[in-house]
Amino acid sequence: MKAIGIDLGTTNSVAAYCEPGQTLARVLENSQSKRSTPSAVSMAGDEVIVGEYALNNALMAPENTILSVKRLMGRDFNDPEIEKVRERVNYHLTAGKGGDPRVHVLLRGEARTPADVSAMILRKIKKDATRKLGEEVTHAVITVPAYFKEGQRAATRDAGEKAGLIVRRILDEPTAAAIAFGVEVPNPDKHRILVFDLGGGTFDVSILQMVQPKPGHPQFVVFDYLGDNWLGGDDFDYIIVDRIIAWVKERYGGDPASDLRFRLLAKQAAEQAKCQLSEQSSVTITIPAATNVRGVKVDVDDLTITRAEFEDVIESSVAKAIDLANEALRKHQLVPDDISDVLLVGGATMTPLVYERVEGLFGKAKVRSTVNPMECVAFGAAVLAAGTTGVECPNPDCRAVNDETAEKCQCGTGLATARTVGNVKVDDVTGMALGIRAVKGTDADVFVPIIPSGTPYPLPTPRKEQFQATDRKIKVPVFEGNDLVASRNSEQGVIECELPEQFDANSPVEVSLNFDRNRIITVTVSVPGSDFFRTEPLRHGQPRNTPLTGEKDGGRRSQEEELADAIEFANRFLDAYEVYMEPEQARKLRGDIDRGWRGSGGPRIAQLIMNDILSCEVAIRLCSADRAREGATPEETRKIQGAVAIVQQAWARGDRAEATEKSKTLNAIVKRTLERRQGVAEVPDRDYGGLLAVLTRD
Amino acid sequence: MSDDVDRNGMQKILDMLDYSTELSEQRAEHHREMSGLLLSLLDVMDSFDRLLGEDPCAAEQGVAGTCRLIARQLGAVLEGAGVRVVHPVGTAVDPRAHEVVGVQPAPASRGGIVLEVIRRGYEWHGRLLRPAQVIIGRSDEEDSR
Repeated sequence: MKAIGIDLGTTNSVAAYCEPGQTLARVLENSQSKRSTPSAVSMAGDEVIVGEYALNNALMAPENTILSVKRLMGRDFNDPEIEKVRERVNYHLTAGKGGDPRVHVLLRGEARTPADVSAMILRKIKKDATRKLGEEVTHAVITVPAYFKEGQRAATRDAGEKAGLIVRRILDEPTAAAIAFGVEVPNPDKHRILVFDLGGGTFDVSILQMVQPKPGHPQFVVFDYLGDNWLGGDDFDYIIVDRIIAWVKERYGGDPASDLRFRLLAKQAAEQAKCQLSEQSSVTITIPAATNVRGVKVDVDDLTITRAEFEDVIESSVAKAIDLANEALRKHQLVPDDISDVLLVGGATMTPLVYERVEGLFGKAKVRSTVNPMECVAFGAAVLAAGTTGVECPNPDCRAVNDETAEKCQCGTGLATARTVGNVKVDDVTGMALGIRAVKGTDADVFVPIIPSGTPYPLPTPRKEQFQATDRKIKVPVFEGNDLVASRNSEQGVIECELPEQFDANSPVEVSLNFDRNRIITVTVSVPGSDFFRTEPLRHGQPRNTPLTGEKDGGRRSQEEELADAIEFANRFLDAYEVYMEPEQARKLRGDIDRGWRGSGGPRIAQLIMNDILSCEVAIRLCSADRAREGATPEETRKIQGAVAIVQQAWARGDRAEATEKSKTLNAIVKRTLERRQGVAEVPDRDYGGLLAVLTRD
Repeated sequence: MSDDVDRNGMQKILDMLDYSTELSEQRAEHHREMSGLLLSLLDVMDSFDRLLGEDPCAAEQGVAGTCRLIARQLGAVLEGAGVRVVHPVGTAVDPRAHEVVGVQPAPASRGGIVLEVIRRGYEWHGRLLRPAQVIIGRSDEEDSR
């Protein structure tokens, strides 16, 4: 069993390995003895080919060769970014079947998700790394850009799992670079690091904090990032190619641009010249017998390009990157002096103009030259992969370290919210707020954050917000972003449900959101003080349907998903409240869960499981009380706790009738508490398609 | 005493493992350096190919004839080092050995067949050193697939 780090790049991917307990990582060469693998997939007949071979095949099968699939990860077909990608690629993009809005690529006519394609790349990386290490690679830390949204991260994790890897972590690329840097720093006490990542086709700038609460345990928190998805060093090569073509035209009077062999030679010469210009002030390009002009072979033999000339033409691109770095600083009222270290990542940062401009902005001493720009992201991922020992049980009385694949600790506690532990600690925080679209006044496009940006996760308890229904058919669109207008943020999914008949259309409704350790978002919609609730995970990797309006709850999700959710909730319910259930109630619930697992429960098994839970009067009321206690005033909390204690005492005495009776009193207190907390809603007077209304508090 | 023996024995094994890792790293490094050198020499060979390849008659005359001799000399050196030319024209395209840099319309029978080599490919001791850059035939049938 080996764990590796993978920098899954837009153009190239790099795998690295670090021995457990050590901090020195090394790149794992692929089966072609190359230090990186092109992130490309193609079809040769019915066979999938990946990496360099796929690039070789790109012209043979342009429509079946998928390049830059990272740009598509976790996006919907109607995403504006997809439109830009479509203009630049030869393969076909489409939405999924049956109204699934996620973008798919067509490979020999078959629609595949970007995660499927990335899985093909990861499978090759896993295979090559296994061969190199002589032992099966089973675990990996995979890096993603810091700006990746939840859907994109989930798609990357999905790709890793499809490739047969246990994904220890989805790690931000700048954090990985900082880990590679951090392990080399003797005393990484407090550092505010700016990562300047100029790759082949993308630019990202991130600011992160590194602290070391105890020796040998550095912690990293990314607190902002900006980027340009279409700015990179590949353009620099073409600037030199254009210069070579212009030189031939001027010297010989013929245009070589249509000569395929010449273009290939010019591109090769340009790549070499770009590297040489990093070391020298000028370079002379020589291409013997470069092309034919009017039937005569001609040479490119005295073409000198100075660094100054080269810098003149790349100046605007570099200035754009520097402007973005300044903007990232301004966003946090920071000045360059507030940055302690600058890390240069990506091949284009080896261009002198780029690193000189960065040095000019921050000071030469802060730009860390010990970090390898091409490989540091994979190194950092490898260090974390090697340093991860498992997940820590969230039960404060246990804290045992469990394997990442375990769902429950030996003490019985569920591990969904467990934190990853190891030598290197990375505090994951949400980069953007997570919330819902709601109605405020007459504005039906208001974004209400529930989990603010910068919140560490996994969360010990869900974050909640109260609303008022505008209809008994409820629609909760979940968004991620920092804009107050919901539609300017990124939609992550929609939860729909219908309030039972005893509730009116303006009932108070509570929405709670939670992240587990795999960054899966769980949404719970409930009516405070009642037994009604609906819990659903947002499943990015699963086929989705476009949100339906006005349709009965359940039209959007498959029976399998309903069942999975019911089982998940039932297991959590058993964990927390089994002690307040009659043995036969617990047995019945377990039996139905088991039938659900085995697929022998028929189409209504999910509903049966939920009915089992609702029939546990005492347990479900204690569950409601726990929910009501969060956010309650001290006085309300005292009352609830008192009522809970009476129920628990009666139960402990074995007086079931008394416990049930007292649980009704508890329920009334819970209901009153929640009603008092409601405030006054701005009740909408028109149809908002089931969106919830924001409450204004007195 | 037996502890010491065990410890010494273990240390020898560890040293041996270190040594074998070191050796294998040295071999890999040597392989990388040698590949780099050979690839640079192939660039020179390419220049001769471009100069002489399309005009065989000129090869026997004057400077061009001398160039052909030098090219032959270089070819022999490369062959002596285990480098072999790949001859793919007329064979089915194989992305593992051929980099497709162009396509030409062709009848169905020539679809997916290498029609022309733009830059020669080479193997080194049976392993691909550099793929051939090739132009292949593409039939209407393939276009419609």
